[in-house]
Amino acid sequence: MGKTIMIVDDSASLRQVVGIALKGAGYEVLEGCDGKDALAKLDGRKVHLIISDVNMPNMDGISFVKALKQLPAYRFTPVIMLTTEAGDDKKREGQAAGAKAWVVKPFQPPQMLNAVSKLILP
Amino acid sequence: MSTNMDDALQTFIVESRELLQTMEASLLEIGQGGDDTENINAIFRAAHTIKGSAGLFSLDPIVAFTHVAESVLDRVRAQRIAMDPALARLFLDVCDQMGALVERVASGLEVNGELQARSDELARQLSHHLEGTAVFPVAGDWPDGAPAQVAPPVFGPGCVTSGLWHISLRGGPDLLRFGLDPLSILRYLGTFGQIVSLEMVLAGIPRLNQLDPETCYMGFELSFASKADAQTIEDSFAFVRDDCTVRLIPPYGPIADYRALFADMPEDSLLLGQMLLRCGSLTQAELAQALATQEWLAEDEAGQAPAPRLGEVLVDQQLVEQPVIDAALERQQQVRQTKGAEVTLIRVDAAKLDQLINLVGELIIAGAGAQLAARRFKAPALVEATGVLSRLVEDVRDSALTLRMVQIGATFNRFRRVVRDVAIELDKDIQLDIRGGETELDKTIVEKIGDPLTHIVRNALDHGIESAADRVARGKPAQGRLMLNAFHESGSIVIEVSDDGGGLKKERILAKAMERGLVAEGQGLSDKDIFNLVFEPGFSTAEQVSNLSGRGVGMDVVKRNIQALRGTVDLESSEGHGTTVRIRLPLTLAIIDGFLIGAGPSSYVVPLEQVVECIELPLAGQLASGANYLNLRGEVLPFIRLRDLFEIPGEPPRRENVVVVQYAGERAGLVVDQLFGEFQTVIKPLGKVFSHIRCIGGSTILGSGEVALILDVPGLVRHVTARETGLSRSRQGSLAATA
Amino acid sequence: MNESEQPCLAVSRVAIAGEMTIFTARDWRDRLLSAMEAPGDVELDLGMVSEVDAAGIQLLVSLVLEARATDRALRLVAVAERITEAFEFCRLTDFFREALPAQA
Repeated sequence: MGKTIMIVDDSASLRQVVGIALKGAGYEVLEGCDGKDALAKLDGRKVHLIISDVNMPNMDGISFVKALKQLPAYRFTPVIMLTTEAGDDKKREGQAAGAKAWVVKPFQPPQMLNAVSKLILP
Repeated sequence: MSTNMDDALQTFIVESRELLQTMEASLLEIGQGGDDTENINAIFRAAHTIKGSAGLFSLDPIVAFTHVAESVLDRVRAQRIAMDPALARLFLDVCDQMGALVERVASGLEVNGELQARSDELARQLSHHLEGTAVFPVAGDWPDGAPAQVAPPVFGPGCVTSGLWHISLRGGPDLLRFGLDPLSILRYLGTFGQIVSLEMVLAGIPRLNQLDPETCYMGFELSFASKADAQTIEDSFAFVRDDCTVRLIPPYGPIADYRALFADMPEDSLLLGQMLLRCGSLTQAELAQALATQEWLAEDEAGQAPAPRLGEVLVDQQLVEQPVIDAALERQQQVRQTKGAEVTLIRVDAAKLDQLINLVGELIIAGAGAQLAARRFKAPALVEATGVLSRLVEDVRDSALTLRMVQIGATFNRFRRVVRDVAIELDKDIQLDIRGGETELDKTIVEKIGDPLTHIVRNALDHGIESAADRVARGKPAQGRLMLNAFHESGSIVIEVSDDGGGLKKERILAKAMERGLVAEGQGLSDKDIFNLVFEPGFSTAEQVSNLSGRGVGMDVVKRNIQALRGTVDLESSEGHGTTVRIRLPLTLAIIDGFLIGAGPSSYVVPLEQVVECIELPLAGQLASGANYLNLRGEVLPFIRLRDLFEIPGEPPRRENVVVVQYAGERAGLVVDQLFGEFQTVIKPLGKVFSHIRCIGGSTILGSGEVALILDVPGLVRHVTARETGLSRSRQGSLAATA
Repeated sequence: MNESEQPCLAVSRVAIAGEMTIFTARDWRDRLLSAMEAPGDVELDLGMVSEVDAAGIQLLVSLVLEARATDRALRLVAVAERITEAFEFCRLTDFFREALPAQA
C-alpha cells in the first residue's frame, strides 16, 4: 500500500520528472499546477507528503501552505518547499508557515528522493 | 533516457516555448503604463521555471545561463534595481538566447561553441547588474553523494574506544505537529549505515491522563555505524534541527562530548549513562570518567574559568572533518562576497589591535624619555641613536594606526539602499552621489558615525528634498540629488551630506528658536549661527512629523554623538538651493602629533594640525588695556591666557607667546609662557570625574613621566569667540584705534 | 477508523483500527482514556492498525504508564505487523512484553 505524495509546481515537465522518480520509488503521485489547483485536487484525500514550489501563479507556495495548515486533514502533513539558492527569506517564511523541509532548485531526482525519505517511509 | 523521460523532455520543450513567449510579451509591456509588478513577476517566473526544470534534465548550459538571468530578476523583483528600458532590451536578448538553447535541446544537439559564447557574453552583461551579490554555485557541481573519507580515528586518553557514531535526539514539543516523524529520520539513517543499537528515551512521556497526544515527549539515543562523512549524517537532521535537540558524537569521539551531552540533556545522568552503556557508546570506565569530569567541569565553571571557544575545541580535538570545514568556508565566502566592499583580508580581534596601539603608545613615551635622557647626558652618539629610534617608532605608530583605518565607502554604500527605500516611501525621485569613498578613518569612528549619518541623510530626504512636482514648479530638475562626500583636511576627516532641496528657512528657524527661548529677540546672529540652532536640544522645524525623521531623535543627539567622537558638525544652507551638513572628525582616537606648551609649572598639548603659527605677545603697553584681542596683520585675533583659564598663580614671564590655533575656520590665540615644540602625544582619556571640565580633551604622559593636559581646541575656540561675539561691534572700532 | 467497546465483567476492550498517527492521536487518546476510567482490566486490539508513526508509539507508551500508575492490567490481544515492526525498531518489545499476546 504505497503512500501518496502531491507535487505542486507550475512546470508540467518538473511534475512529470518528479512524478516518474516518486512512482519509481513506490509512491502514488498527485499533481497540482499551483496552490489553488492543489487545494481543489486534494479535497480531503489522504496525502502523506506535499512538495510545493514557492513561485507559482494564482496562489504561491507560502499562501498554499498557510491555507493547508488550516485544514484538519492536512494540518500535520509534512511539506517540502522548493526554494531557490537565493531564496533564504522564502525558506524562512515557509518554515514559519509550517513547511519545515526544503529542496533547493535546480535539483535532480535523487536529491528529491533523499528529502522525501527523511520525512516519510515508502 | 527512458521513454517516460523522453516524454517529459518533450513537455519541457513545449512548456519552455510557452514560457518564453510569455516572457517576451511581458518584457515588451514593461514601461507601457500597465502593471509592471505583474509583468516582472511573470518574467521572473518564466526564468525560474525553466531553470528548475532544466536542472532535472541536467541541461547544464540552460541552468547556468538562466541562473544569472534569474538572479538579476530577483533583484528587480526585490526593487533593488529597476527594469529600465536598457535592461528590458537586454532581457529580450536573454529571452532569445534561452529560446535558442531550448531549440538546441529540441533538435537533440549539444550546445556548440558559438551558442555558448553568446551565453557567456549575455551572462557577462547581466552580471553587471549583480554587483555586490553573492554568486551561488550553479549547475555542474551537483553533490555527487560520494562519501568523503572519515577522518582517521583519533585515539587518545580523552577519547572513547567505540568506533561508532553516537546520536542523541530529543524531540521538541512541536516536532510532530510539523509532520516531522523522528522514526522516519532514524530509518533514513538506515539507508547509508546501520543503527547498531537504539534506546528510546521514555522518561519525558507523561501518563495518558496528562498526555497531549500531539506534543512530542520522546527522545532517542543510538549508536550508528556508517562510512558516511559528518556532513551527510548532519544533513539527515536538517529538517528537524529547529525543532529538536540533536547531538552527534563521531567515532572515537572525545569524552568531553559525552560530558557535554550529560550536561545538556534533561534526564538524570545515571539513567542516561545506563542507556549509553547499553548502546555500547561508552564503556563502564569511560562513563565513570565522563561523569567525573562533568563534576570537575562544573567546579571549574563555578571558578569562572574561561570557556574554550567551540572552534578551538573542534580544531584541537580534530573533530571537524574536511567536508564540514569546506562547507563552513564556502558559507563564509558567500557572506564575504555579499559584503562586497567590506572585504578584509585577515580578521583580527579588535582588542588585539587596541593592545598593539596601546603598546606603541607606551613605546612612544619610553622613546621620548630615552631621548630626553640622551640630551641630558649630551652624548652625541646616544642622541643620534635615539633620534633614529624615534623616527622608527613614528613609522611604527603610523603603520599601527593604519591597521585601524578603514575606508568610509562601505558605510556610504549602505545609504544607497536607505535612499532608495526612503525615496519610494516618500514618493520622491532622488539620486545619490557618493564621492571620496576611499577616504580612510579609524574603525571605531566608522562604527559610531553610522547612526548620526543615517539621521542626517533621512532628514535631507524627508525635509530637504522637495517632491518632484514642487521641484519642477521651482524650475529645478525633477530628480533630487543627495551627495555624500568625504575628504581629509588638516588632520581631520570631513564628511559632507549635501542636498539640492529647499534649504533651511532662516525666518522660520529664528521664530522657532525665539518661541523656544533659545535666542533673545534682537540678538544679532549670523546666518551660520541661525542654521546651527537646529542642533540645539528640543529644536525641530518639521511642520509635519513624518514617520521617518519624527522619531524623537533630534539633531541635538546627532551633534552630541559627533562631539563624543571629538568631532564637530555644522550646517550651511541656501534657501531654495539646498543644505550641506558638514561633519569633522579626528582621523584617529589614539595618538596625535602635538605641540607642547607651558604655562607656569604645567605643560599642555595642542594638536599640531590645529596650530597655525606662534607669535610673541605684544608688550602690555601695546595692547588696549584689558583687551582680549590683538591685531594680527590687520585681522582681529581674540585670545585667552592659559594662566587665567586654568587659574595658575604667580607672575607670567616678561615675554609671553601666543599660539594661534584654528578650528573650522575660526582662529583664536592662546597666551602661554613657553613653547616647547612638537611632541608625539598618546591620548589617555580623562576619567569621568574630569569629563565636565571644559577645554580639556584628554591627558598624556611626557617623557619625564609628568602628566600634560591636552587642550580641546574646538572648545577653546568656541569659548573665546563666544566671549567676543557680544563685543564684535565695539571691537572693530577699538581695533582701528590701536592699529 | 472504527472502534468498539465490549464491556465485559471488569474488562474493557478497545479496538484500534486504521491510522494511529498524529492525525488521529487525539481521538484515540480520548477513547483510551475513557476505557481507562472504567474499572477493571483493559484489552487492546491493535490487529487492524494500518499505519503507525511516532505519535502512535508515544500514545501506546503513555497508555502503559497510565495502566502502571493506576495498577491495572493491560493486554494486547492482537498486534498488526506495522506495530510489531515499530516496537522492534524502537527496541520497545521488552517494554510492552507483559502486555503483548503470548505468541509475540
